[in-house]
Amino acid sequence: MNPKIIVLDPSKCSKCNDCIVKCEEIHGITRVKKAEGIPVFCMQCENAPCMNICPVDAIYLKDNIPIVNKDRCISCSMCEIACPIGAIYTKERVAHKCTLCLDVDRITPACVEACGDNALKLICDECLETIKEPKRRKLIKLLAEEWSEGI
Amino acid sequence: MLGRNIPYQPTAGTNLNHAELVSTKIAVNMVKRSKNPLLILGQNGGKASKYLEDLNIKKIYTPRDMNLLDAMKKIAKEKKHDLVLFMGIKYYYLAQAISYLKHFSDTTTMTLDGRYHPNANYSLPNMEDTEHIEAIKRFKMLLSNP
Repeated sequence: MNPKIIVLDPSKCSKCNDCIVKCEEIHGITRVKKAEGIPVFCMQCENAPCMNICPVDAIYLKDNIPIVNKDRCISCSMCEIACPIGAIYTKERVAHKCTLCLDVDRITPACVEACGDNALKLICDECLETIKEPKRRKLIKLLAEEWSEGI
Repeated sequence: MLGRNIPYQPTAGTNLNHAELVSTKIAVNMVKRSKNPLLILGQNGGKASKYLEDLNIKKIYTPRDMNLLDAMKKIAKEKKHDLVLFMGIKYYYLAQAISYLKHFSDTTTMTLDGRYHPNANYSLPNMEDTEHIEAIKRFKMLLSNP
């Protein structure tokens, strides 16, 4: 996976629009789209279909995050068709996608800071491993209990 | 390290906006992205603070160079530093200092101690000493590698 992605916890999201408003404030146009009131963030795919399909190579990688080069983009919408989660869209003749604010002078993504419900988290591959570990322990515990019951 | 997603009971902090837990990798990415980071080193860092001493970041040693609260006022007034890192300062003293920055400046604060600081913007989680030293070693290693 990519070095970092934004992960959303839908159960914590109060559908307040803060992330979208902040994104619009920073980038001029929001790069986050909503589905049933809950924002959907780009998953920053490692083998990004949007980048692979682009006929003019307008999407390039910076720190492994695909970013749209606005000057090159011809607004053909091929990326929109290729994206498996609908996180990229074209408006005003340019494709827009979340870049984790890598193309502006910010330390962290604006939406993560704006989220008052703590529903958004910036996660890296390092963190994912540790999130998985308690789940594995839980599984081992369950299996051990079943096994002892069997005896 | 980041398995502990809720370091304290949610009501234990002074405010509802608690620090976001970060891993060393995200911390390094933040330092790399910041334009003018500042590292404030205290006396109680132990072994871990030695690893940070030769980093290529502007440093303030407290209390040798400056009193911590004077440093806070300077940071809030000058608005020069976009990211301020803290390490090796007494827990309750640092809690006061970062609380000041949280309320009276736009600076992003991050603590590199082995204890969770709810008043910072970003903080490492509670860790054992050995785990903390490993995390700081990794922080230094990732930061010095381009």
